[in-house]
Amino acid sequence: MKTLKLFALFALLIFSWSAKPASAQVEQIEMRVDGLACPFCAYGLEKKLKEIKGVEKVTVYVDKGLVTLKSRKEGAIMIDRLEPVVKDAGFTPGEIKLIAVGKIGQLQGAPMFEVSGPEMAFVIKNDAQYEKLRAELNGMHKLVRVTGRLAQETPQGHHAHPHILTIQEYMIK
Amino acid sequence: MNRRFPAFACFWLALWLMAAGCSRHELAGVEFVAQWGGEGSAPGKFYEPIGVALDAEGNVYIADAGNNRIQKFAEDGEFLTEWGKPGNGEGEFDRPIHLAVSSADLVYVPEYGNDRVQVFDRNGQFQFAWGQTGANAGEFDAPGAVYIDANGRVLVTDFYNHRIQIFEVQGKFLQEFGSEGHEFGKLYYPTDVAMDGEDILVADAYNHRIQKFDTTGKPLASWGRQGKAASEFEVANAIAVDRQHRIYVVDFDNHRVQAFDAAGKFLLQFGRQGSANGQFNHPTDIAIDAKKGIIYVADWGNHRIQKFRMMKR
Repeated sequence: MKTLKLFALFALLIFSWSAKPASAQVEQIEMRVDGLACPFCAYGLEKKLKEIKGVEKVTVYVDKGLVTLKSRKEGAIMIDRLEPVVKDAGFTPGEIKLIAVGKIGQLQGAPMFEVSGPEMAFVIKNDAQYEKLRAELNGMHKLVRVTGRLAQETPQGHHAHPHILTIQEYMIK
Repeated sequence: MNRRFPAFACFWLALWLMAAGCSRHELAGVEFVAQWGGEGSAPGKFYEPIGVALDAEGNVYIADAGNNRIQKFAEDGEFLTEWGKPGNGEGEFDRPIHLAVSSADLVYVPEYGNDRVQVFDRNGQFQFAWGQTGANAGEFDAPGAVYIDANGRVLVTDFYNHRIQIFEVQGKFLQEFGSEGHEFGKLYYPTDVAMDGEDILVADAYNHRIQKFDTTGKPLASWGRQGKAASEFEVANAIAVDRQHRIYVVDFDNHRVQAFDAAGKFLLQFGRQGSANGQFNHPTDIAIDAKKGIIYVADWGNHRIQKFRMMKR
């Protein structure tokens, strides 16, 4: 039931969210990738990731097993495409870290992080860090730069959930 | 005349045997000669140099992948010229990889990102190109290496399509072989190709082995497996053959080069991880000046080229 509710929330966001902050944007995504062993695979993965809509620049760090993606100004990166592309290229996707500017909102009681671009929003993990941010905002709809971890939990037999954002650091603009 | 003939024949036979003996000298090892480069984008500097090739005069061409350009050097490392910038137009590159120079002095450059092979003269003037993204004949998904055989045929490794494609010198498709897999004759992300006579040698990188095929693509032999011992590889990503049919394999994650005889018997190795002379940080390609007994290695992680001399026994 919880799964369905979250999925419905995400769908609602895609079709109904209207007031997007103009300067909000996914600025950078960092993704751990297992199996990056050499430049042949690094350049190959770079090539595949560049094909994702919204990606401006890809940097692959072979030694760190890390990929960073910078977003085009005119649109956010289609994050849902990241994991399938990495898998198709022969690697194992790991943790995704997000740096983005957006606004904190709520939809049907769930805390949301709203980013401009192709109608993008994330469900925020309701933890102490989020509560601290909410208290500082004190009801103001200010832009916030958030660094956080994205996780997509998909219980067996269900469609993929929206990504859950765990806020690690933030700065109110 | 008749009485002198045996002595005459013996003289020439002895001469032939001596010459044959000399040309089949054993390789005692290799010694470091020089290195050049260093991280950067100025002429003579590199950012992730990944491919090295030689022309008939011994000039050295480097695919400077991170800088999306080709640099040309004299055999002593003196910078001669460069060409290329990021992009997908003529003379532009998106990750140039294992390049090659033909006997007609044309430089063939495969590009991972643009799925094509571009051809230049020795000064970097664009001549022609072929290829587009795809998996059909003549199409590529990350072409990683080019080899031009004695008959002028161009062999290209097609990384994500797990195959070798063969073209005429102008890029007309001739044949292909290979498909994804781990069994004998299958390929798993091939990264380089070379020939030893009529045999085609493939650096079957992520199967951590070398495979030998005939010209029809029929598998003949295979050696290597994943590991750190002699005859084992951690990504066998480049290959070259010298005049004595010795096969040199660049062993990326073991930071070394291994040499084998034509049958795949281990002969020697050189290099270990590091940044000192003769050490490597993830080497990626090798080229051999057979006339002079010189070996060049692209030392990718140290952003430099290293030059070695073969020592004969």
